[in-house]
Amino acid sequence: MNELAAEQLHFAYRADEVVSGVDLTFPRGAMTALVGPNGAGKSTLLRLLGNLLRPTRGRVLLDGRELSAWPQAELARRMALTPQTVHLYFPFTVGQYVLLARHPHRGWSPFESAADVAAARFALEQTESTHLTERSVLELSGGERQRITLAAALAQAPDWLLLDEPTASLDLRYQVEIFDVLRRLNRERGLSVIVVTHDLNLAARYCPRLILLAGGRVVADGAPPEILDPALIRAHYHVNVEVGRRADGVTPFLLPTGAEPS
Amino acid sequence: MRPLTPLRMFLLLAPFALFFAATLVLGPAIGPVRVNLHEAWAQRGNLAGSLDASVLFLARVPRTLLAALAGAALALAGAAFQALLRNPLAEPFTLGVSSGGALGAVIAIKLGLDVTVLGLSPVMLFALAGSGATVGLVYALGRTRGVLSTSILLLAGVTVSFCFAALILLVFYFSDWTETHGMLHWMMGGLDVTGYGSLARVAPFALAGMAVLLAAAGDLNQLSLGADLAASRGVRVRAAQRWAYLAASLTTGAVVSLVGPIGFVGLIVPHTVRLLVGPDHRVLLPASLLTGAGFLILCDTVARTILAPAEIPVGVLTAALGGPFFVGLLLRAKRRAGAWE
Repeated sequence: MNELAAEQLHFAYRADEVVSGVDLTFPRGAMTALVGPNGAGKSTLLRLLGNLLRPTRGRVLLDGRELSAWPQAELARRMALTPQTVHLYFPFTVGQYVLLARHPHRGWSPFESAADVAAARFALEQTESTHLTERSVLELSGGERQRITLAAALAQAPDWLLLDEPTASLDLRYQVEIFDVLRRLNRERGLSVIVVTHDLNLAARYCPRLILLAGGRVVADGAPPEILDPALIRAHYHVNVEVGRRADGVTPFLLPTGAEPS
Repeated sequence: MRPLTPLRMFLLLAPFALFFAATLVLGPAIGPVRVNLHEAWAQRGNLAGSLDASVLFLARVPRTLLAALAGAALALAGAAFQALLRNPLAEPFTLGVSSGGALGAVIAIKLGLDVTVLGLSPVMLFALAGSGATVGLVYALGRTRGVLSTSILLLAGVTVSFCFAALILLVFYFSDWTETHGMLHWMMGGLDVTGYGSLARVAPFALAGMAVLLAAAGDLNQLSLGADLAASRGVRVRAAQRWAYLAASLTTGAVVSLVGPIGFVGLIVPHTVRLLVGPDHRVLLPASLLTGAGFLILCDTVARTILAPAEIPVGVLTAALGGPFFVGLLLRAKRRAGAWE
């Protein structure tokens, strides 16, 4: 019961089916990466799982209950989703921005409680952004933006965290930092994480389970060594890769060596 | 970290409340005719017999109240539209509410009708109908698969405004001098509506819309961050957008039907207030309301005294102040270009 499950999930923008017949189960407490080439349907699947889109067919269940049957605020206390890009136009301070994520916990009160402040502080500490608290969100660098976007999602105090490319446009250090935070919260607090990413190496390094999507379908689902397979990658990404092993002899990494001769 | 607590909210809003209270007291006291306030107050039960009392209670007080209502409504609606459209340059008239109202008004003046419904004059009725029809049209155009697209809404609003401006010119073309004078006068926006009657008829609509917007402040905060984040934080995005859009339009439309399109208040006031208290709509909305009310009382006081006995239409004054302000704003935006975009 403690799981997020997609059953025969379909989604179409007009005539184009973007997600077709996906069956997946995410047990609570797991850290999973959704990977796949551009247009594979990763973001759409994530948005379906996060109740931002209604499936054209099939359903998504959280703890055995269909998402659309959850009261929206209660669902928001269970699950947070960070979109790929957040466009901000108003000069909130970082502190305000992170506190705003407490919206589903506030009920009818317009005011923030001590619990809200504690959650926001915790989120800023976890993402090492406390020093940004009084800065305007409009004056942050790319890396800082990604971190406070994650901080806001953490302040929402969800059991489930769905992230759409949280490390896009970040340098190596910030990429690793973001995934470190996710793994720590996953291990220490049982936060369930589903992350869409283009970075197969980071996914393999941090996530015990990778789901490879292509053409709106699940084409592979397993541990990193099963997914970072040269033949599988060539079939779906149309590139040749070399796959190596880290010193532990288990965790794979890959290096593209050239476009597949057509 | 500065969370919003009742004390903090009080401290932030108190200066704005004081400003409004001061204008509310000073507005009626100042004017081209010297009024003995003691005398006026003593004779408040005998308006017909006292010039002081009748000027104060029949002309200045209702006019001040009207300025307060209009300023509050326009500033609040402006702040709400900026959040809804996620665009700091939006204002109550961006989506064509005023051009629709103006088209209704000029048609009513041209037809020269002489009927009242529920105490509303034909010009007010037609202006209300024009605003309402425009809101519906722009809203219908701006919806894609049930979700409001802010960019399409903006385009639709601007396009509809242009079309209506052309139609207004067409009506002008077929009108004689007295008619066009009346039309121009309406379109300049003015508070020279006397008595409490029409104020009392329009106020309930404006106040209802304003109440809905104030109650929606938390949702507007989320919507200003984008529909996806709002939805994932438990906001029922479609319903919240629809209510806020309708409430802001109702507020604007009601006021415009009475005083015409008084420009720039809905742009200048929320902007200035945002610079002072930040963009949190739980504070921004009530602070804009108070500032808008005080600002328009102030402008009106200037408009009716500076060239006395002549009177500048207050819409001309606010626009004259608003133009340079808008340019300054654009320059500021230019310097900031690139942030989060």
